[in-house]
Amino acid sequence: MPVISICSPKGGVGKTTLTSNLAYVFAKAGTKVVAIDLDPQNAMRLYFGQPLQDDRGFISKIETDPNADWVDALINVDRNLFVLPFGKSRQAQRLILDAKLAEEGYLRDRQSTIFCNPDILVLADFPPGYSVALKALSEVTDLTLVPLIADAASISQFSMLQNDELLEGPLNHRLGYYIVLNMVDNRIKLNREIQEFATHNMSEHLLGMVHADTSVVEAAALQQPVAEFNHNSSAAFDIEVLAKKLATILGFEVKQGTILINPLRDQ
Amino acid sequence: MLTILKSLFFLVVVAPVTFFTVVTPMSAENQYIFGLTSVGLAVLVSSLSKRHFVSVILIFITLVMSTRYMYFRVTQTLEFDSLIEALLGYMLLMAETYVYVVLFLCMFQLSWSLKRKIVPMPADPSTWPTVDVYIPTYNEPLKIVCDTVLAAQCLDYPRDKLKIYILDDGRRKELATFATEANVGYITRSDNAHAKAGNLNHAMKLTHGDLIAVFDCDHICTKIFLQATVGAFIKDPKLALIQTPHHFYSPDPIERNLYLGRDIPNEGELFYGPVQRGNDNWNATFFCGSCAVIRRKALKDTNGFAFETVTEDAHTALKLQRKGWNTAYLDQILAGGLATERLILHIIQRNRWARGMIQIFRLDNPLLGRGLTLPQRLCYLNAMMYFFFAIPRVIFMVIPLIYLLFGWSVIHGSAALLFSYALPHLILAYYTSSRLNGRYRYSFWGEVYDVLLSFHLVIPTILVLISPRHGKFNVTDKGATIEKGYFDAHAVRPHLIVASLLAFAIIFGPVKYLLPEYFEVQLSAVLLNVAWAAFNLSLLIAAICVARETPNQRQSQRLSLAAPVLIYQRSGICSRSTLRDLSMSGCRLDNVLSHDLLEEDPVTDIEFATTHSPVCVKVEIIGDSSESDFLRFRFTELPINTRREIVRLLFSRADTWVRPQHRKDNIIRSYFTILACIWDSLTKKRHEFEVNLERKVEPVDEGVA
Ligand SMILES: Nc1ncnc2c1ncn2[C@@H]1O[C@H](COP(=O)(O)OP(=O)(O)OP(=O)(O)O)[C@@H](O)[C@H]1O
Ligand SMILES: [Mg+2]
Repeated sequence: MPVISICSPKGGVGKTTLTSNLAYVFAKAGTKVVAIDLDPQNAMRLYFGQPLQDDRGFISKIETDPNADWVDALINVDRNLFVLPFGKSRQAQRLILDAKLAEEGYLRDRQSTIFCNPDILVLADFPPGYSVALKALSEVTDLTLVPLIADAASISQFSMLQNDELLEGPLNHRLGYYIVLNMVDNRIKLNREIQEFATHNMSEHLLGMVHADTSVVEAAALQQPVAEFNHNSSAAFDIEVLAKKLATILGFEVKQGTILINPLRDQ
Repeated sequence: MLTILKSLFFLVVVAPVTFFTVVTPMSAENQYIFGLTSVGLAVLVSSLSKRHFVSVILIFITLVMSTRYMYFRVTQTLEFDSLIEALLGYMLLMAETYVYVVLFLCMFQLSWSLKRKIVPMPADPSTWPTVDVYIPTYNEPLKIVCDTVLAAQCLDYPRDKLKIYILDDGRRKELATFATEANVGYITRSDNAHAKAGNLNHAMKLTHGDLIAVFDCDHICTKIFLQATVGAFIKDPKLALIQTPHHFYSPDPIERNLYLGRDIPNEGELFYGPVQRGNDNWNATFFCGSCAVIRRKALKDTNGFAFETVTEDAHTALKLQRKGWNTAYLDQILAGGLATERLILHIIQRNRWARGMIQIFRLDNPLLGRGLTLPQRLCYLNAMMYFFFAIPRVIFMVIPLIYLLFGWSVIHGSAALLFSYALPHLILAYYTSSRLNGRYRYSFWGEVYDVLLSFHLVIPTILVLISPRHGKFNVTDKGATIEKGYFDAHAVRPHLIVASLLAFAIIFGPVKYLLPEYFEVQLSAVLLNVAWAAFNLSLLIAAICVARETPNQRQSQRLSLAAPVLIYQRSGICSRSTLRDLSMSGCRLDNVLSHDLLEEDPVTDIEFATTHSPVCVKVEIIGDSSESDFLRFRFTELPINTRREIVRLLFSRADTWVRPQHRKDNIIRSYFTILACIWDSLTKKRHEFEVNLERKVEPVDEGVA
């Protein structure tokens, strides 16, 4: 039942990378994971080894049956691991989706198999910046992850987050948002300073960091999880550390490398 | 009441019994029985319990037996047939008296020791005193001074209460530049008057801290140094000085060339363990020039650091104590340094110490003058007396030659009688020292250290005794590397000569006995002297082996520690590995990269994940890693801020230095160990010597949160 949304004010900061790799980590640890792509770019599926020409997705049925259960579009990637691609879409389809998402209770009632399922962990990936989907999912999200790049621009993004400017309201109603500094290169002084700044000023919202590591890019090109491409990848390690921290915050039980979900929502 | 009874008991029972035990003459046979029974009794008592009062009883028995021997020597053995024999005989008696006095003083100094605890700092840092850290230097290279300074900057102490100064007596531009870059104070002066003491005194005029911490420029402190020492000054307003051990993480010449990797306490461990703790018990801790904190106010009382002698440190402490200030010894290793690298430098250093201590003995004798308690006088006296060892030691070395080569007897009476008195005295003296200090110094090693130095110290000792104001300060060179092994024959020339004579005498003596028609010698005397000569010869050879300098090519010390690291390759791939060892010049990691990858995509940087903040260093791979489980790197650039972080990682941790624990001494085993060391040295065998910090893996902060 926990839903983690991964979004950011800026593009190309590693949302999709983080979503897919966290999904792998959790699935490997024994949690049932559904990774949902809510970005019309429809790129996340590639991170899960789907062939480029395979353009299935939940969007394809939206015109014929707007209330269709997205579960039918799930693709099983691995034991415990499911991906829900956006699918190849036209403008008309995207407008219908936005309209449906804006409907009160659409996710909670129509898509309850996914969003109200105590046995699965949902990781949702979004397009950069504001989107209708992000707003709609904020109602069912437990925790929002915000990857940011530790560059000069991130300072202004910190304050944007602090002022709830992205959605003109909170990113979720449960555990709030957590920043992940991505592509951190400690060889660069500015990077270290931004980290220090974030540690001092945003400490309660700072989940951790991921090193800049070309293994990430190479793994993406080979459609592999980073840890598989390079067992010793620092980015992969950092993402595992993030997963452990998330499990603690969300109240998962971590037993001998297995992460078990507790139903935690009160309704 | 109890004390009166006790005193009465001593007066009526112990004192007369002791007196008669000392003075009653016995035949050789009876004396054997009596002496060996006493030894047996002492061993029995000793094995019953490790308690302190048992040690005191043992000390008492030992001193009584030694006194008995000395009484015998003085009353029964001083009749001589010729002038030359009388001369030599009295010389030997003098040497023995010296040993006897030092034995007394040592037993006193060592029998009650204080295990001082760290006084915690008050909770409110605003009440803490201000501290100036002085790092005096004269000619040591920047690369040595630099790490000491950087480590001082890592001290855990409020920034506004800590000031660090390089006191450069060499007026070197590079040091001034470094000080500016590192952001520490730099003090220099126009002359070098009074060497180190003058340097410190000059700086005292320019800075204002309440306390002064002094580190020789190669003593790298851990971050808790001040937190561990300053509390004592707040608790005791009359405390002038707190001294901590000098710990050397590189092997000294004896360790390197003679121990050859064996687990044997090094020369310093006795002094920086039982001796200073014993001194502390009597409020007589000496200042040792470095790794200490001194109260400015107290130094004002003595007009700064003492400069009249070449060992300004011990003399400063003495002067402070005369003015009624207290001194303390904290037996916690809070700094590590480089030992003297080569034998010849070791000899030069000890030469200075000996001259200095004898200067103090002559110029400001602790037995005389005001302000000291009797125990303080005795502790200081012992420290100075120790440095007279050279002359008696040489006498002991050459005495057996006299009888074996020339047939002169320097001790009157039968060898059997002499032996019956000497044996229990010697056994007990060694046995008791072994019980008291066995974990800090193994039996007979003190003799090896002394023999190594004594030939070189005889003349300086005599000169300084005659003219104590003579002599200048010399600085010990450190941090050099020894490229190739070589034999420093120059440093041990006197040893070689005496050793050859002893070897000759050991053969010549028995030959004399076998040719009774030409020579007139006694079998027992020959045997006694041959045994003595052989023992001396073994010590001498051990000392000579130290001159066989074994190579020590490492530019800087390498310490093992396991900690996570990141490896950056040129392509941007960044992988995790584990650090295995680290030095200021490079490191070794577990190899996690494939060989082919390394060829086309070389490693450019390494990141150490520390709790403080991540540190990245530019590196270059060394050696062929294709088949190795490890990757070795050399640091190619080390800007000051990075270097400071490596110093922090390497030296600054509270648990950086652990006191080595040695197994208990065993007198016989110890002697055989010396023989084994000699054998290994002669056959060029070597045990693996590793500086191991035994450190736990630091809980590394994952990410920035
Ligand atoms: N830690 C990292 N180290 C190196 N490269 C990274 C890292 N994280 C992400 N990248 C690379 O950065 C690029 C952008 O990543 P990703 O597509 O995950 O970002 P995004 O936020 O999902 O982008 P978009 O806003 O377009 O959806 C990719 O090429 C990815 O491989
Ligand atoms: Mg994306």
